[in-house]
Amino acid sequence: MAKILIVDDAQFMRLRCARLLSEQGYEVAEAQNGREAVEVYQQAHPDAVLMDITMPEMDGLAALRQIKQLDPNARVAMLTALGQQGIVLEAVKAGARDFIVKPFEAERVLSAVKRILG
Amino acid sequence: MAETLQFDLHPDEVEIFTLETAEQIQQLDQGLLTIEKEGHTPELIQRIFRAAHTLKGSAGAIGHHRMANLTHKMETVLVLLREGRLAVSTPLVDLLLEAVDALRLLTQEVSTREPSGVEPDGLVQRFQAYATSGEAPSSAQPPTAQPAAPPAALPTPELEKPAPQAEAQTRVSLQVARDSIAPAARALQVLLALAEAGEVVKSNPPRDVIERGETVHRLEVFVQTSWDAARLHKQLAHIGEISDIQVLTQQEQSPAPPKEPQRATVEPAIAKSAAPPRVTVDKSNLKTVRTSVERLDKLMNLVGELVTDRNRLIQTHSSLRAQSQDGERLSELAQAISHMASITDELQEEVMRARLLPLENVFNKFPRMVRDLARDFGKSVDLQIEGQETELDRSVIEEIADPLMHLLRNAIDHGIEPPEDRRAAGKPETGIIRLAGRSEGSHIVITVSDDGKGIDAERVRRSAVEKGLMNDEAAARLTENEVIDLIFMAGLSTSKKVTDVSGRGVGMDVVRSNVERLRGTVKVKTQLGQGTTFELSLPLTLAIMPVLLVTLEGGTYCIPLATVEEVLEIETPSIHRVDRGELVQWRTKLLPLLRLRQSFGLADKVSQNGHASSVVAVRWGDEHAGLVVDGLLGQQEIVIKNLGKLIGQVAGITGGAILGDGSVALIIDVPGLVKQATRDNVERIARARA
Repeated sequence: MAKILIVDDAQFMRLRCARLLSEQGYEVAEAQNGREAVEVYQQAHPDAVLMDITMPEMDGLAALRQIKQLDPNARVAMLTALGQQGIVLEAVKAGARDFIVKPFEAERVLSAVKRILG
Repeated sequence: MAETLQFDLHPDEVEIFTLETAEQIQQLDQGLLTIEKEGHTPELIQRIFRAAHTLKGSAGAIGHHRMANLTHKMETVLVLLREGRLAVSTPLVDLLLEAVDALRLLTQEVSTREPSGVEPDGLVQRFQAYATSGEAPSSAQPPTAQPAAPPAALPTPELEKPAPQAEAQTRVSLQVARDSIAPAARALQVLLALAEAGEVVKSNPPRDVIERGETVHRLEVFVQTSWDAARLHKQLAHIGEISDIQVLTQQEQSPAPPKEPQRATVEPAIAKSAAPPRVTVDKSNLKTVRTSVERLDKLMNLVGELVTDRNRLIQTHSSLRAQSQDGERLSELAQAISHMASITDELQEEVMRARLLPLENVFNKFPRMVRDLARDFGKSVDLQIEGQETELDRSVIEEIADPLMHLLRNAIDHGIEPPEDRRAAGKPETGIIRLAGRSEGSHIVITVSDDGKGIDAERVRRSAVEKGLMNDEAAARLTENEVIDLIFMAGLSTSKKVTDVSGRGVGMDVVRSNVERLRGTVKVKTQLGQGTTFELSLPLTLAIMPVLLVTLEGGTYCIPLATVEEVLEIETPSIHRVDRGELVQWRTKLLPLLRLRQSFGLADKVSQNGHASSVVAVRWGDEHAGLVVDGLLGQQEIVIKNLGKLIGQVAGITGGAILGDGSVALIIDVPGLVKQATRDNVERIARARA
């Protein structure tokens, strides 16, 4: 089954997503900021990444850019909140495959994951 | 009882939600106080913004709308502050701090499930006033402010370059969901996806407009491609929030405008005015640090060493006093020791407290379980939980889930009557099971009570006889309370079903022995027709244990005080010898004696004074035994040490402890010995009775 990397600085949100995805049989890796995400990406080679935008250390956009540089085929979906249109747009330009709006609905997350794994 | 709040989170997510939101609230609090004291920096505001943002996300995720609304507004204002469009002022910092206090109460609702009384509307409105004053027309919009963009006009496409002959020009049109938070990003995704198919000749709105982030609801793209419609559809399938995709390989008339799904706005109206909430919060309980369990265990061990040394000092002092004449210096020493002793006590207490977890951690999983079981048994049950904030050592917490689960299951299965029986008995159809925790000194007490049919003592009495646990005569002699206590005996269970609640069949006897292994006790009170209450009393910690010190052949042994019923001096003539066993009359029964000298393979010797033996009557489960020892030393609190690999498994011994005088004492395995004694004596008792 596909491996998904969840990047969010809020442990609670990671727990939520991880639970949701592992219930569906996905393998899950986690990172709590952009810098860690880049490291974990290189080690774990996930099939898809769910990336929060607002994070300490390195934000999601910067992490997306670095990951895309390492792996142009990386499948990354941004986790975004209201009011972040501008960043989402940047993210899409930088190669994000999708974005999911918080608060998540389980269905949306799953369908987004399915879509980007497509 | 107050109305219960519902949040969309799993019981075992509560703790982490609480911990994490508490941290973020703390960050907000500290950040704001720093701004107030030292002025603001962009980093500081960004940090505060991030905390508010994360809180908003978590609140949204669990459907805590009032909290989400409030954090959303805070975030809006913090963005304006960050972008310099709003000035930092004392009233604004005050307002933010007021909101932080409200957030504390709002997050507490998640664990208490009781309304805190905080209605953030007033705060939201005041933030809105700031937001309006600071917001330029193009600023980050809250969703309600998002203008419904007029449907983009569809002018006849003007081709910027002539289409190559080989490829057909395909027109793709689609709809971007109205409730998308970044419709432009969706449109851009479409453009990028179609660029993979061929050359995007033109789009409407054009790419530069889309890249500026203008709201796009309808998108039309002309692409020069050899792909067919099916392949283009597939290419766009991975993009979310788009619908009504139409692919026309020839230029035809534009399709009829599709119906757009209408969604309610995300944010409720904020017009309602309300007084700002009155907020009083104990800040101290939110200043938390996370630490590893191993570190706590290590601390506990170190404190244990200290306790041992303290005991040793006290003992040394008293032996010095017996010998020495230098009263003055000795009393100085005594003072120092007593001061150190009280600090050690306090330290021990504090370290122990650090290992405590609220009962919530185990109580949390019961509401769902009770609901499901009640349905399985066709009962209507309301589970009321109280005192879930009561704290208990984590190792104890882990061990009590099974016994509690069994008690709750019993209450549903055997306690609460079916609705029709309850109605007939003049009771409300819905039975009440109360699960409550409270602390009582060094113990915590957990009760499981139901308002069901109670335990029928006569039925238990008959059952005990039928199952051969005792004869008619013995059963008849028992008082009602003694009969009720029989439910804890192995083999009595009146139910034939095997419970699958904890994955293995447990009876009440197992409940009791589990609780007693934790050095706790379980009691039952019942009233026919009124209900049953089980009361579990558990020590706050397992690392330190009060014991009775006894001597055997010059060595010192510890008997856990929780198992000691009575200390007796037994005159040799009153000991009955039956076969090779010995029994004495004790209370209303015959107590089998166990000579520990024999048990531990020490030289057999008649008791020191020849005529009497010191006997410690101990109980395990519903069995008693009299341990015959050489002498008694008194009570002490000991720190338990595992003997581990040093000596391996020794029958009759569970561990060791270092005493005040530096000597080692072994802890007697009361459960093991009692079992041995009763096994040996069952027949003898029967014969003695007969």
